Parts: sequence; structure tokens; C-alpha cells
Amino acid sequence: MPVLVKLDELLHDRRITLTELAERVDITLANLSILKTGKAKAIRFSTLAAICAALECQPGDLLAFQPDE
Amino acid sequence: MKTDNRILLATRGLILLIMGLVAAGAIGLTAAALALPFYRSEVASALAEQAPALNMTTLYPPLYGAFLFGLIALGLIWATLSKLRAIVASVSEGDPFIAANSRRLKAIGWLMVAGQVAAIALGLMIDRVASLTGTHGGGSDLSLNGLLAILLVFALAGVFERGAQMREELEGTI
Repeated sequence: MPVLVKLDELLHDRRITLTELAERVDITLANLSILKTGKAKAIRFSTLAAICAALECQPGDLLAFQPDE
Repeated sequence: MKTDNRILLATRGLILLIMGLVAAGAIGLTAAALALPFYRSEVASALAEQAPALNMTTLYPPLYGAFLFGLIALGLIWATLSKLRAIVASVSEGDPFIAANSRRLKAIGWLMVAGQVAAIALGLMIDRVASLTGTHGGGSDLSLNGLLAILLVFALAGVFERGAQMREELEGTI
């Protein structure tokens, strides 16, 4: 998948654990874990908005596009 | 998500009932086919009134053909019902949009095609037996309802295939 999820870096920068984020955005830890490991096939705008609100970032900070070689 | 539906429950019961009847029919048919050679003279004398010129050796091929195609038809019905039972079970478990159900529906479609062919062959055999014994046969023709049902099942298989894909996509959506 050429779209990378940079949740790990954001969490690291903000010193927040995945469990804490799960509590803040009201998304299950299992789903956030799927997102973090890049196994998610799609992300809802509502999820994106909740994560951006919790981490005070822009969608572009969370996602990156890397074309396939 | 569990679906508690009386119609579904009734369907499951009905499928099991029909499967039981099909099994009983298959056992009866096999028993009759196996017993027939031992009651040759009884059968001949019973048919003597209607068909005095009947030669039992000419009766046997279409009669055993009818037994064979009857058994094949029953086997096809049994296989169809067992697949339908699995689909109904997946519906009551609340997870019907799976690739397995699409495959099951496709298999049911082909089983129904085979069933139509077996029914025609069976009808021909019964007609032959009927003309030999001077009784009325059931007649054989292509059933329009059967053909429509086959088309419906194949269309549904396509619907389920797409449904399973959508379900999978939804599962990966966070």
C-alpha cells in the first residue's frame, strides 16, 4: 500500500501511548493497532478527525503517500 | 450479531425434514432396485393384466435406468440441501456475506443444472417404463421454474461475491 500511516512517529513525538490515544478518540485499541501497523484498508473521515483532534495535527502529518517503485 | 428469526428456524427445520425424506427415498429406491430380481415373477404377473405381451428383459434397462437417475436426482437434492443448510446456518450466525456462501450458491446453481438434466433423463426412463407396462408416465420436459431458479441462484452468487468483498473492505476500515 503506497499510503503510509505515521501514527507511530506522531505518538512517539507527543509521548502518548496507543492505549491513551484509544481512550481519547474512543476507538478500540485493536482498530488503532491495525491502523498503526498499516494493515487498515481505509480510514473514515470521522476517525481521521478524531485522531487529528487528539494529537493536534493535520491529516498530512498522519498520512504520507509513497508511490510504489 | 445473532439473528433470531422464526422463519429462519422454520427453514432449518424444513431443510432437515426434506433431507430426511430424501434419505428415506434413496434407501427405499435402493432397496427396491436390489429386491426386484428376487420378485421377478410377482412383478410380471402383477403387470400381466395391463401389458400381457410384456417381456421383463426389455423392461429392466429403462426400469433400472429410472432407479439410477432417481438416485442421482436424490443425491443432487441432498447435496443442494446440505449447502443450503450451511448458508442458512451462516445467516443465523449473523455473518452471511462470506466468500464461502458465494461458492456454495454457485455450487447449488450447478447442482440444479445437473438436477434438470437428471430429471429429464429420469422422465424419459419413466415414460419408457410406462409405455412398456401400459401405465401413465409422468412425462419429461424442461421446467421453466427450474431454469428461472437456476438463473436466480447464479445471480445471487454474484451478489454474495460482491457482498463478501464489501464486507472484507468494511472490516479493514477504521
